[in-house]
Amino acid sequence: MGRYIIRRLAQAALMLFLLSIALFLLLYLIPGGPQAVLFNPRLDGAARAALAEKYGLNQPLPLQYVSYMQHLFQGNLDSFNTGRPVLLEIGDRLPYTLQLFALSLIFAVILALLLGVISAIRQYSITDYAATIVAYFGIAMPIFFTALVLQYLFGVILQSFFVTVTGSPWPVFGISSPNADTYTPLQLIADRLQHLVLPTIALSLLFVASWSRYLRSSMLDTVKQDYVRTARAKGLSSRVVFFRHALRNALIPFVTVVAIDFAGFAGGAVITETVFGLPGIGKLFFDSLGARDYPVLLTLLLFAATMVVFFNLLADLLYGVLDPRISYS
Amino acid sequence: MDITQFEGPHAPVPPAPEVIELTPELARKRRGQFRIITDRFLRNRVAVAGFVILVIVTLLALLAPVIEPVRGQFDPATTPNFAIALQGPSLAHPFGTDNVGRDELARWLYGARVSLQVGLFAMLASIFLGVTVGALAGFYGGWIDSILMRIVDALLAIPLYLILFLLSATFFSRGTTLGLVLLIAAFSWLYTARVVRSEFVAQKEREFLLATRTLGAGDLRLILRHIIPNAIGPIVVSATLLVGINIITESTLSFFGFGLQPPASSWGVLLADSESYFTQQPMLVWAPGLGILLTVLAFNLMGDGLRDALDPQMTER
Repeated sequence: MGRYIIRRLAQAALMLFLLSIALFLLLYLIPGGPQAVLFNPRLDGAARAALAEKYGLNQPLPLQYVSYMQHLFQGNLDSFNTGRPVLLEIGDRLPYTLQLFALSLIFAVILALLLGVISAIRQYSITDYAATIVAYFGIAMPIFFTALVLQYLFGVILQSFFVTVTGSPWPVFGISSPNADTYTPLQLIADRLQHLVLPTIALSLLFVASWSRYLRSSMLDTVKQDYVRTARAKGLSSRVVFFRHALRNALIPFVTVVAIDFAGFAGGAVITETVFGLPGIGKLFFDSLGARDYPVLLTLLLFAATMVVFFNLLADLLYGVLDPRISYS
Repeated sequence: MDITQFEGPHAPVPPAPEVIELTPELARKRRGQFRIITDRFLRNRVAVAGFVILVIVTLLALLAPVIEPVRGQFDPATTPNFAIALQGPSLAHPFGTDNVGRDELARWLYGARVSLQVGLFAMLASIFLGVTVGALAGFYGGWIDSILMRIVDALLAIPLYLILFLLSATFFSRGTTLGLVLLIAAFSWLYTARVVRSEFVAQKEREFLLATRTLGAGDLRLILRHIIPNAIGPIVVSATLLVGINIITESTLSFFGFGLQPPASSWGVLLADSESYFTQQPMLVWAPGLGILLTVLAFNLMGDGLRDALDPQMTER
């Protein structure tokens, strides 16, 4: 087990290392790269040389890569745009993104589990059909369109039905109310949660839809297996058979799908944040794109890729917990 | 010496099968594989509904240059008329007019053309890439397989939209349809490659391939004439689903201003243009939004229907 983890970590580290080189070359070589941004045509030769010197752009590419990595890990890689360390820029935005991300992930997994299990137990029931229809629509909606529709629904059509604890209209944009600085801590938490409700629904819908479909079909597959019939024949109640025997085995492919969709989830978070005007990583990404802030962009990509690789590894380790037949060697 | 004595106990000789004459009537009833699959697909009402929606949307898109002169709304991109800006749906303008007074239905029809084009062409390119990579990895195995699949893993680790936003904002800033198609295709072949690879791994040890190879068939012939036809089911299904995915990707890029640039317009561009008028004229958002929703839904329904129809494990009911 320990050896397996070490081997997987080494593989992941190697892959991320190669990926970082590829992304670095991609960003620094394509037309419109850092040179194009910094070398304003109006600059004279001396100013260009000074800028190139300052950002190390006059060095050979391999050296530039090494110095990028060095600065990144020493924490003094500076943003082109603000001049602040990139890690600080990300650290400022991260809490908002993590809140949205965690809420949506928990919400999506729980709802997908519930819907998937109910649809499988009551196959061809009204609940099953309703879940199927909602899932098909959820999968066919671009996340930004879901977000727009939710804003319209809560901000215009259902405006009078939903009000916050303070009696104001339901927030459809931003992360906090304008007069939030007068709130007590408890009100602040409530205010933040209320602002995150719609983004959470918008980000989760697609994943609730596809994950619940997936769980339903893998549940229906396991229910047909011989060992489930054996368990029933032993006299176990259908509840025990369903949850202890069928669900546990159906969860293995479910975990894989959730892990695979992690990258999609991160991309969706960026889109959701932008439509709802949340000041998270997504906003940093779009601001940096506008300013062609390459150090920030490259770091964000590498950060996202590291998280994806980490969660895939976590999913692989979860298999062992879910399925004792799998041994790591 | 009678040779029969070495043959052990004699099994009764099976009677010669009764020869059934292939009458024209029987020939009509005999169903080829294509017929079986078509019949199975047609019996799936939901999948057929998806197919019908697609036929309608495609016809509308194809006929846009025919419909529009009849309606008196010519090129939607070049006819702003501020006098009739932001009107609600009416007989003359069934979807209303946008913020510069262009007929929204005309823009919708021309937008459908672009959305479908991008979806289809990006699908073709990514199926080509995905099948090639998957076939090479699955057929040759070994280090080719390891390298190609590690590349797929690495690309899958980057959130799709981040890299697409970034590349279209820098390299592909021209905003042409072709650039967008290639960009989307460059990152949407990964799942196809995985599916095709696993098909190849499952197929390549089968006896008929050994037999074909013994007869002298080369690698290319084995791959193109023998394995791919056997793996066509999963390829067709992922192609169908890919069109829908690509339409969503294109609309998302265009919505955030990283896709097509005006005057080119797709449903995503329409949404980007009308987002801020949602409360004033909701139809401006509903029309392109529901266009995307219905079209993608139809592709997904059809893809699922094809999956069931093409699956040899599914017994006929």
